[in-house]
Amino acid sequence: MSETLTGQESIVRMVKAYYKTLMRIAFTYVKNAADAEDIVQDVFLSVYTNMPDFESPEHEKAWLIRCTINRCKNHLCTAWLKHTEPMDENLSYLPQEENEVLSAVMQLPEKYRIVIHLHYYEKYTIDEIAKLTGCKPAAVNSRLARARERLKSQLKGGFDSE
Amino acid sequence: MNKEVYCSAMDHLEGQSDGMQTLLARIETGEKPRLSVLKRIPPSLRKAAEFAAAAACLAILSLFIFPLFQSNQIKLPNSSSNVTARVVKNPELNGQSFRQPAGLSEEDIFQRADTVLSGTVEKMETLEIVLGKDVSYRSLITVSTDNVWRGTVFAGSAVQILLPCAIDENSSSSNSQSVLSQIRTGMHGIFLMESFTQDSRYTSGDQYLSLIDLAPYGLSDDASAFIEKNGSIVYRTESFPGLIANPTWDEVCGYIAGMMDKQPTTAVDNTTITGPSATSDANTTNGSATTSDTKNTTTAGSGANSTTTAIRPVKYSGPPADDFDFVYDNNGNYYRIAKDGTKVLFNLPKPSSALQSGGVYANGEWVYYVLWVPGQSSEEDGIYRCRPDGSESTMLCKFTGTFSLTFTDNAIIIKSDFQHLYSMNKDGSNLRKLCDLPADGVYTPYFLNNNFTSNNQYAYVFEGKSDYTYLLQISLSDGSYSPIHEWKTTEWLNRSLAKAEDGWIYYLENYSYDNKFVGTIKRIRMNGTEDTVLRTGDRTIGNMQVFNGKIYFQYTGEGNALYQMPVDASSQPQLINMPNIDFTVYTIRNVYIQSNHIYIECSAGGAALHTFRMNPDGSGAVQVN
Repeated sequence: MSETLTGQESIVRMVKAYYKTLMRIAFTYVKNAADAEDIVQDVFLSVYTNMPDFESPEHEKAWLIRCTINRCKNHLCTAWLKHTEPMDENLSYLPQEENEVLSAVMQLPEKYRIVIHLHYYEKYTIDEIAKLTGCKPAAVNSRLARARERLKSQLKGGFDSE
Repeated sequence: MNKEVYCSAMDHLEGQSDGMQTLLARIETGEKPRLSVLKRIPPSLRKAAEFAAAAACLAILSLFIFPLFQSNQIKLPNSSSNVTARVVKNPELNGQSFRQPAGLSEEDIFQRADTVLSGTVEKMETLEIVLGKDVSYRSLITVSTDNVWRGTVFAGSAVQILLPCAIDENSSSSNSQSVLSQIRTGMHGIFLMESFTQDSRYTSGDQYLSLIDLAPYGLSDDASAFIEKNGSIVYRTESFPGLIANPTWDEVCGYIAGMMDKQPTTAVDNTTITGPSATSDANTTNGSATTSDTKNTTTAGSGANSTTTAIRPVKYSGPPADDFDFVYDNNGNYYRIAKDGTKVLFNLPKPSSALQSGGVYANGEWVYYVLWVPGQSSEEDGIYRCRPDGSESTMLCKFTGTFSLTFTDNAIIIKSDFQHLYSMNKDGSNLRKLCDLPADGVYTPYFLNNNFTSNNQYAYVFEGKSDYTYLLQISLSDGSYSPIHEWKTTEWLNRSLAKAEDGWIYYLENYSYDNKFVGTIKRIRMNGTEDTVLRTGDRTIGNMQVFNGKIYFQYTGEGNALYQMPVDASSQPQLINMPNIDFTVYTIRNVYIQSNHIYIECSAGGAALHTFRMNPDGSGAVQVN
């Protein structure tokens, strides 16, 4: 309804458009669907509460991704998680090949996982990933290269460069 | 290829959770998304955590909430911290309970009252206000209204009114000179009230009490009421020379109606809310005159008000009367702005206080608005309208769910739940469903956004997916629809409608991917022909508005520049002269056009917001918050 419902319409559209993207990104960080779901809900709660004005659809998407990444980092820094071993998602329901590849990616350090995901799944460029993660493009490039190197040793064929 | 396998695995992950559907259901029922906090706690500890949470809630209740009830303290969220107000019974009230009028003329008294109604006093309470070293008493009455001459109150609803004095109901020796002191529970009367705003305050030094914390309305003085008592009318005779002596109730009502006709209703000046410091106020226990009044008018451009509340125009749909604009702020307050920039609080008339505004639309001589009770379905959810002064408020139709309004000359088009279109006449008659827009399968209304635009014959929406979009034309007479233009592209484009005007639909097409940015302003005939590029460049475009033969727009990221060009792009875009804003600090967040003004909302680092109103050529800029 206009101001309120326009906001409601807007957030429904955002959820439909970006929920899965944000879930994948959060999962890449926290390796657990339940926690990822909480984080994504938290992101949309933030939108619902603050109703930020976005300059463009790109700005909107980038804001949501950045927000998700920040919350994932906060989540991983919580005292609870520092003193406990988070339970990784059971991926046994996936086909064997997918299970192997996803498990290999999930075993990478978090900073490598996210660049792999943003680059190969979300198709972001190095510069865009740099903006989203708050790193320099050179750092993103080197993380991507190191991640590929590690995957090459674990997976037959590795992750080819392009 | 392992990267393809990785992508496939990620796709399969999505199907493991129904979180999105749950979240959507919560949002669509008005419930805020919430965290499932307990999921983070191991099951073995959940019972203990639940018990601890319950114990903590109980402790908070007993420490903070229960004492509030016990002491009748009134919450004062808008007042300074050391100020208190509470309901007291049988306080020691010394002296007389009235305030001398400020010597206003008959016309001035009606001029200052933005709400005039009659009703019965159902309840009377005494408030003890502690403001700095001053302790004073005020009466708060609840009036059940039966007639409203002016204002935003529904006849039949109850309103709370703060009196400028305290009344001792038990005293039989009420001062015969005072009108207000003779008010008692059960009495019938006419009240000339003023709406309180955030700026209506009692002050003492640097302490202040925001009157809106106590009641939405107040009476100014003894000339603000006519009381029916023992068959006669008690009022301040010297203040109303136009009223015949010893009038009957009907004669007073006739007089009030006559005065209403004389008064312009769009230029209400709320300057006379008076505080407890007036010299005639005998109820301030220490007799101190240290408190002072704060005027209730904010004038655009005065610079005196340093609030950071954002102000923006309400939905503009069709030409409102050109002597006012409507704006709203972040706190959900609506205001009417007169030509000179004077801002007056506009209380939406509501049948009950649980209803919240779902949007206000200025259109012609009426203000249309949506009321709803968040999180539940209410019988009073629906579309309402009233005059710009809040009078003649009526419910046009019941309507629930998620919807937005667009106006044609004679009808209101309602877009409900993203894909259902309804139409009704502006007086609420002939409500009918026009059509269900295609929203299944391939034609997910991905681009069906809020920029729904209509002229008198057709409504238009963009539909489709990122690689295939079409412009749908919907007949407003019979609801039939058909695609009138198609775009096929492999590029990720975002199209948004701006306006349908003079046979053209103006829209924006932004593309950004892989470090490429293209922003294009286009227009297409309303029959789907002549899809034309008006301007394109290597920057994306935002805040596009079409108004009076001009297209206004900004380049994304260029926060301090607003351009205009003719709708046919016959000349190059020109920068609009901006008001004297320090653009090293502020950037423009949003641009709105209502009536004959451009509103620009500026922020500094996403924090402080200021809104400026200016003429379309950039002249006459004033700050309106």
